[in-house]
Amino acid sequence: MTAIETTDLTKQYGSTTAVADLDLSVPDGVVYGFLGPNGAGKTTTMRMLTSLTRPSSGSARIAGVPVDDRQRLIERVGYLPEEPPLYTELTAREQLTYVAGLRDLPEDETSRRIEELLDRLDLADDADRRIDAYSKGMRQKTAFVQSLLHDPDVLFLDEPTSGLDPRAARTIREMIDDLAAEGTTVFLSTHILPVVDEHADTVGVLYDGELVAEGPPGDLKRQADAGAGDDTGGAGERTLEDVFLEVTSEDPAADEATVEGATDVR
Amino acid sequence: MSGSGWIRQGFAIGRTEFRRTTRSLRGDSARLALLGVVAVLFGLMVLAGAWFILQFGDQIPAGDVSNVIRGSVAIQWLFAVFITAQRAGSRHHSIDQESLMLLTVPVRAVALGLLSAECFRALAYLAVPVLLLGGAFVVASASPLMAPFLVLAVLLFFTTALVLGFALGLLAKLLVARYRVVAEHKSAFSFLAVIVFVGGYVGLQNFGGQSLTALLGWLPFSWIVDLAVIGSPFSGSTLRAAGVLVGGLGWTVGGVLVVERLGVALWFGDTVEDAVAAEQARVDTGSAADPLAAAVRPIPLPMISQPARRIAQRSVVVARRNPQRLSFLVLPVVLLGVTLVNVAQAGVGSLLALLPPLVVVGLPWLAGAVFGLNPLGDEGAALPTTLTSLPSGRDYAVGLAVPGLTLGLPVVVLATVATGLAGPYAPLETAALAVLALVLTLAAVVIAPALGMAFPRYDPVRVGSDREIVPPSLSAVVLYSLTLGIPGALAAAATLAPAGTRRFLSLLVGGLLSLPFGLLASQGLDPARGVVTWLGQVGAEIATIPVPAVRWGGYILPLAALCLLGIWSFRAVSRRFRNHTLD
Repeated sequence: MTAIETTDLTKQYGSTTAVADLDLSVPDGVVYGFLGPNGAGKTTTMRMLTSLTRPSSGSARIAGVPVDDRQRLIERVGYLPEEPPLYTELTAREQLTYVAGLRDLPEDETSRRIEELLDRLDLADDADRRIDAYSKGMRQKTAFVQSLLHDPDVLFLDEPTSGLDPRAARTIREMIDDLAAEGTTVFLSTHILPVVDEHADTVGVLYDGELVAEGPPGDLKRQADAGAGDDTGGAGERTLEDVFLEVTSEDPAADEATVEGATDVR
Repeated sequence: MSGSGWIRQGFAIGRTEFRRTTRSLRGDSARLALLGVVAVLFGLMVLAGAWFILQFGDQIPAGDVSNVIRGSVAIQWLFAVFITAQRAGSRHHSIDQESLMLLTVPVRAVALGLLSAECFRALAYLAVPVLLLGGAFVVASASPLMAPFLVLAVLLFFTTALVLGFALGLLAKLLVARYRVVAEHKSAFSFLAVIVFVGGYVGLQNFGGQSLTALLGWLPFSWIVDLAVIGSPFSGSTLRAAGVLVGGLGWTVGGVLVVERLGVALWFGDTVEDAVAAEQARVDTGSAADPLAAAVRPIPLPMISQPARRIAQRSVVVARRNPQRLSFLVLPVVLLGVTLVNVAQAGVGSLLALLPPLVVVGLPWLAGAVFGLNPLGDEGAALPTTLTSLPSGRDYAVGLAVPGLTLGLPVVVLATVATGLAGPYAPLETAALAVLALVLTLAAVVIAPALGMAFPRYDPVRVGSDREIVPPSLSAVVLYSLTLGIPGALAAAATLAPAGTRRFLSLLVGGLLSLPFGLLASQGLDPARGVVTWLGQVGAEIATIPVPAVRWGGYILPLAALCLLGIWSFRAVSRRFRNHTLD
C-alpha cells in the first residue's frame, strides 16, 4: 500500500509558489529523506500533508485518507515540527498525558507507553520537571515521543535530531529504523545529510518548491557520478552532499548535468 | 583605548538601544494604537495646560519657593526613581547580546549605554510636554532668562532619578542572583516593594498634608526647583540651586560608576537563580497516575470526555503556573476597583446599590476572559500538535468553556445573591439577577473563545525579565466586552430600575442617536431630517411603554439574545477549530 501519495500538489501564497506540482509516491514502511535548502518548501509540504495548510491545488492522500479530511487523517499521522510543540508550563509527563488524552487513547495503556518511551530516551528522571527548565535537546526528545505516542502509520519529522547530543541523536535514529521496520513510514526532513544517507530508503530533493531529484541514495550518487562524467562506475566517489549541491545549484551547467544524470524528476 | 572612548561607545550603545526600542514599537500595531490614544488624550491636556498658562500665567503672584513646592517635586522625583528601578530590575538582569557587548566594550560603556538609552526613552515621552508647558510659562511670565535653567533642571531631574533608579534595580537583581532566599521569593518581594511604594505615593499625594510634603522639601533633589526658577518671578534659594547643580552632576557621574560596579558583579558573577529555577521546576504531582488530574486539584472538573477534560486541565494548569498570562486583566480589574472606591466615597448605600449589577456583569466577563479570549494564541508552539491530535471541535469548545464554568459559575451566582440581598433590592429582583448572572456566565465562556478565535493574536509580549506572553487582541477584548456588557447591563438595569432604563433608552434613541442626523439635516441633507423625525417618534414611544413591560422585556430579550449568541458561539468555536490551518 502507498503511505503517501500526492498528485500535482501545489501551494501558493499570493504570487509566490511555495510548492509546485509535487508528485510523490512513498510506500509503507520506508524512511523517505526529504531534503532541500532553506525556503525550498519542505515545511509547507509537511504542513499540507498533515492538514495544517490547505493546498492551493492538487491532491494528497496519507495512508489512503485525503489530507482535507483532518478528523480521519490525524489518527494516521504523527508530526514533529521544527519547533518542539510543547507547553512550557507543563512537565514532560503531563504534556504526553495531555496529548494522549486529546487522542482519547486508553489511559492505562498510554501511561505504560509513556514510561517506556521516556525511559528509552533518558527522560524519565526529568519527566516531572517543567519543560521551561529543559534544554533544547530535552524538549526535542519530549516532542519526538509525543509525535509517535499513538503509533501513527506515517510519521513526519522536521529536523528530529536538532539540538540533541550524539547519544540522544543516535537513539532517535535507531528508533526511526525500528519504526520503519515495524511498518511505519517515516518522512524525514533534515539538513544532516549523513543521517539521510544512512537511514533513508529513498531521498527526494526539493528546490524552489519543485522536486528536482528522487531515488535511493545509492542510485542518486551513481547517477551523479555518471552525470559528472565520472566513468569509474562505482558510487563510492560521490557523496549525497555532492548530489544535493548539484541539484540545488543556480549554475545552469550543473543543472544540465543534474537533469541528464542524477534525476528524471525535473 | 583613550580615556574618553567609553563615553563615545556608551552613547553609541544608547542610541542603538533607543533605535531598537522605536523600531520594535513601530512593529507592534496594538501598542502603537494604544500609545496613539494616550498621546492624543495627554496631548490635549498638555495643550490645554499650555493655553491656560499663556492666558493666566502672568497673573500668578510672584513669591518664594516654599518647601511644599520643593516637596511636591521630590515626590515626583521619587516616583521617577521607582519607575526606573522597576524597569531596570525587570529587564536588565542580562543585557541584550551580552557576549558581544561585554567582550567588545568596557562595562562602563555598557552602563552608560543602558542609562543613556533609558534617558532618551524618558525624553522621547516627556520632552515635548515639558518644553510646551515650560515654554508657555517662560512666555507668559516674560522671563526668557529662565529658559536655560529650566532645561538644565529638567535634565538634572531625569538623569539623577535615572541613575539612582537604575542602580537600585540592578542591586535588586544582584540580591536575587546572590541570595537563595531572595531568589526563591522574588515575586513576593517584588510585589511587596510595589505595594509599599505605590501605597506610600498615593497616601502622600492624597492624605499626606502640607507638613509631610514640606518635610520632603529638605531632600536635596527637591532643590531642582530652585534651579528651575532662576530668572523667573519666583525666588528660590541660590545656594540650593548651586548645590543641586554641582551635587547633581557629581551624583550622575558617580551613579554611572556605581551602575558599572553593580553591572560587573551581576553580569560576570555567579547566580543561584538557575539552581532555584531547576528546583522550582520540579512538580510534586508529576508522578501521580494521572499527573494532569493531580495538577488541577482541588478544582473539581466535571465528568466529560477525555479530550475535552484534557483541554480543560491544561488551561487550568497553564494559567495557574504562569499567572502572568492573565496580566491583561489587571487594567479592567483596577478600573473596577477604582470605580468601587469612588462610589464608596459617596456612601455605603451607593456602594451596596451598585455592587449587584457590577458583580452580575463583571464576574461573568472575568470568567470568560480568564481562559478563553485568545485560545489559538495561548496554544503557542503547541498549536500544530493540538490541531493534529484533537479530532473534535466540539471537545475543544467544551474543554475551553469548562474551567470558566467550574471556577466562575459558583462564585458569580453566590456573589450576585450575596450582594443582592445585602443591597436595597427585593428578593425577586435578586433572584432575577442570579438567573441573569448564570446565563451571562454560560454565554461568556463560549463567546470569549469564539471572538478570541475570530480575532486571534500570536505575537508575544515580554513580561518581566524572562517570560513572554501572548495577550488577547484589542479587538477581541473590546468586542467581547461589548457583546457581554450591553445585554448584561440592559437586563440588570431593566430589572432594578425599569423607569430609569426607559428614560435612558428614550433619550438614547430620540436624542443621542438622532444627533448626527440632526447635524446632517442642518447641512441641508433632507433624508436625514426624516430620520431625525422618525428617531424622535421612536424615542417618544419608548417613553410611553409601561414600566412592567420595560422590566420584563428589558430582561427577557437580552437573556434570549445571550442564549442565541452562546449557541452560535459554541458552534463557531467548534467549526473554527476544525477548519483552522496555519496558512
